[in-house]
Amino acid sequence: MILLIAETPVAGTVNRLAHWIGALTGTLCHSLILKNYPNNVFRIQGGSFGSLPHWEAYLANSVRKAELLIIHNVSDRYIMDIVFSLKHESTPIIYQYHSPPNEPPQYGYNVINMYFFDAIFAVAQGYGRFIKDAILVPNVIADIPTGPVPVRKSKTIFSPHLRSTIYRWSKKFSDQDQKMLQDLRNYFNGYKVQTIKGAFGTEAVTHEEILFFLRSVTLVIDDVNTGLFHQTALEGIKAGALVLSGADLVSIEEFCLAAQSPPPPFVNAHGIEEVIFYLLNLTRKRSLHQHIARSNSYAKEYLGEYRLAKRYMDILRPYIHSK
Amino acid sequence: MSVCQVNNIRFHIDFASDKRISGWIADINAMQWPLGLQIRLATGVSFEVYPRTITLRDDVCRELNLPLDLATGFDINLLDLTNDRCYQYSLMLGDHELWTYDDFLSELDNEVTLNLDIELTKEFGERQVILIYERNAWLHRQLAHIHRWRKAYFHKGYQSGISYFFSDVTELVAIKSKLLSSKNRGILIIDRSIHEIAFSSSPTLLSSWPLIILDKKIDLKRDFNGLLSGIAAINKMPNETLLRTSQLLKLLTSLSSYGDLFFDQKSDLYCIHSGVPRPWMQSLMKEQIQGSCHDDVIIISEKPLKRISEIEIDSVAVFIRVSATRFLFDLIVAESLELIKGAYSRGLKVKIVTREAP
Repeated sequence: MILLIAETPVAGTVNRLAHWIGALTGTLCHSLILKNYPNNVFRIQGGSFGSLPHWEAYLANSVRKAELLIIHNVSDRYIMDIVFSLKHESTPIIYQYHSPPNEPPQYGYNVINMYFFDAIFAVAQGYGRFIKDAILVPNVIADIPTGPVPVRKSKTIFSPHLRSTIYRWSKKFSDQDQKMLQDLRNYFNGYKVQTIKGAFGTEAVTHEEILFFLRSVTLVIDDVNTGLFHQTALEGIKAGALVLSGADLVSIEEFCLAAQSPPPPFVNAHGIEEVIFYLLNLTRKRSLHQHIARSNSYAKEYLGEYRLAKRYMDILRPYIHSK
Repeated sequence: MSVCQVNNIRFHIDFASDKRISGWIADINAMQWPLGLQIRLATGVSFEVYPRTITLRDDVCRELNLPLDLATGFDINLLDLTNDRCYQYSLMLGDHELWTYDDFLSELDNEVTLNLDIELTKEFGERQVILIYERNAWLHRQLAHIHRWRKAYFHKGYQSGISYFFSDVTELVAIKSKLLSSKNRGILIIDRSIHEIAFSSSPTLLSSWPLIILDKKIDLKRDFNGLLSGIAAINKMPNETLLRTSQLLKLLTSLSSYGDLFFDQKSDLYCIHSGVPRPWMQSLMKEQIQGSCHDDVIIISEKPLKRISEIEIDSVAVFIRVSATRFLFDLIVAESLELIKGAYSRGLKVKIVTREAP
């Protein structure tokens, strides 16, 4: 049995990976997630084990039965102590991280420093740069469900940033950036800037609802400040949108290596000034449509959920029954 | 560590830490691996040295006139063996203790100052170093030791105008608003064991000041902004150097010895790192400087670049902002590709300027 352990749903990745690892190996694979995010944005299949009165015992017994453990960005040393004190000596254990250093929740990657892992996996969206010898893995992005008829594109610029921080690697889109965008909203050639709250009336929206909405969006603004890129950027491309991203050369290189694909068709925008400049010149429709066409064909060829899951499995396979 | 003899046993510990021990051992009379060799932890738990950890050491066999195919070497990953760090353990043969590792005793000669009741330097100035230690822990002990030796060692007058302020987390909370309102950004050094606590109490300060996280041993793998790598390069300290008092002193005072490198942050001058800047490159660079560019590294390239592997070293020129060299000091002599990767991973602002429009 393969066991995935996480403190949160990790943007749905943990459930999704458990499904694909099980499907592609034929081995039983379970995901154990401690708790959901405050707004229950992601549905946790099978429930969260942190709600159990004796969750430690549940975790411990699951760990004992595991033949391979994948720990997803866990920073709680209490959980790690349970895992390491009960896992069989020969059971391979992998740590997969997707958070930057010197800020919460990872700080100095203390869990990686304190415990011995057979491999460290880094989500190939720029995070591989922080730990030398980390193995790059693609984020397995969910396919966007289709409806009875195609969704019509609207003149919407979607800025889906909920939390803004001051930290070097997490200030994806600051409050000032958002304000600047709102201040200039009447000059984007009829395109309307939408936030999550603006589009849904609340910030407590499920991931499925956002994915559905994305299909109507023409432009998505991802992280334009840090050099990393995020799941929303790839979901934007899969939804046939044009994605403005500040991903740097390292982030793109990582993704290309892990996904075995050419660079994603992001429109480079480093900082809010470049975003504004692009949006103020949104008059060339032909170029916009060409970009969207590029997004669609790239998504079809390289971002299929099955394809990404297979790539992930190619990297994981040597650790299954490795000892 | 030297070669020791226990009757007919010869052994040597080549390397020992809380995570690993390696060396060689042989029974020269029986001409075999000594049976019953164990690692015993301070808790009393013993682990037999597995045959799989034994290796051939023909250099040893030749020296001791043993058959060359006799396995005499060992290399034990203690983390694997015990699933924990081992701060105290012994190499045992039966009941006989051959050798002992003690993380605390190994540093005791530098930490004789157990009385920590001594006031540490607390100065403020334009060029500021703030060091946050955990009370009574290793860093506090080392600093107390230095201050007992010479109280005014870190005085601004001795340290080329650099002001040192040593405090624990409680004091950090008291001074953080003063530091945040200051126009100057100094350097913040924090003991790894209280990094998270310090971050929770002063997140703005810790994310806006350049940070060095210190451990008992220099850990360059977890140096995320390059400052510690630069200091280690200046002092020729390899990774995992144990920070005994003298090493700590060298590390801290190199910030004042190289004050202009670490504290001159106002300069917007650029220097060329690599590449041969052709006239069009020079003209593009000139435009950048005239446009009051604030990026740390500027790559002038003929073609648009999308990923690192597309960089052709011969067709780019790399410029570094002088004030950013403190984060790249150890990479200044490196190949340009390594410098560029270092700049990206250390969170510096890198700009690519191309001749062709992207």
